[in-house]
Amino acid sequence: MTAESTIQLPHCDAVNQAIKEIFMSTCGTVAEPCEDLGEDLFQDGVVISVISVMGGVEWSIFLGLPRATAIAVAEGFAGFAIPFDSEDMGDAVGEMTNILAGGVKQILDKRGVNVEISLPSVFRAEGLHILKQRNSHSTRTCYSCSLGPLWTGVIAGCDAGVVA
Amino acid sequence: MQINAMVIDDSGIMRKMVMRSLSEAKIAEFTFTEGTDGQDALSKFDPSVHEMIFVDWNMPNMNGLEFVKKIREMTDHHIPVVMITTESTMGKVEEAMEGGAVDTFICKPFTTEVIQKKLEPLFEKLQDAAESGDGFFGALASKFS
Repeated sequence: MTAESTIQLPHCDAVNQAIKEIFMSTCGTVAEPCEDLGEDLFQDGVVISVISVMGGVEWSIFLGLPRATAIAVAEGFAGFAIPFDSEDMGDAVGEMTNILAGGVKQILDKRGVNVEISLPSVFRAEGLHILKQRNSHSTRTCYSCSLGPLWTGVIAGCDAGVVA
Repeated sequence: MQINAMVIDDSGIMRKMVMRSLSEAKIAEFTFTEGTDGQDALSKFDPSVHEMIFVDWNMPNMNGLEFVKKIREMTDHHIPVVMITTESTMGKVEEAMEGGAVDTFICKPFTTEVIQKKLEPLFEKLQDAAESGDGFFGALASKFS
């Protein structure tokens, strides 16, 4: 998957803002946007969590954590070690995404954009290749933090008021 | 003092985190019954046993508020309810507090210190109720003395 850096979805910066706040409050680490890390990020295993945002914007928000980052983040969040291949890993990353989406909702609410969020769905995969969907716009932002690299994605329909 | 509490969340890790934080907070000695959602918790709820409820808002099958409404219908005793929420449902939780369904809330992510601070006023209320012998609050709070 490549980064679609030329596309900007309106209000998409809310995800960037929320991820910084969430990683600081849950894991005590600063997540800073960095250069796109390419598909190598996924080859050793990855946990991806997806949550839908519905209302003033219609998005799917993704949080992707490579194996080593997922293990470190889950421990930082829960306060105890969580194996990568466990059900608890899915719970921890799903809860992080739920908190992330809650933060995004709060930011959008302040801008007068009212949204509701779904429950998260979490996937664990190896050698993942994400196929870009037609009739949709997506952005991906990679971050680096003391726990390792991670990324967020936002996918929206073609009528999402994209700024080129 | 021992308290039989229910911890209800569809996320197993969140239930573990809530129970661990409550144990570390040393406010009371808790015995826990876990529920995986409102429906599961309702099947395990016993008003003669459970003295305090910690419940997530956003759950499949039956959400936290629906669960609280059901248990309020089942008993006249006011069982203290602590809602676990994210920023996304804060407004709704505040409405539920104003309506008397929920006693207080804890916003995720939380720490043991946050739980301590949030629960102290609730336990002070219990203490006052114990002194005035006020209903179920009084019965529960009498365990303090």
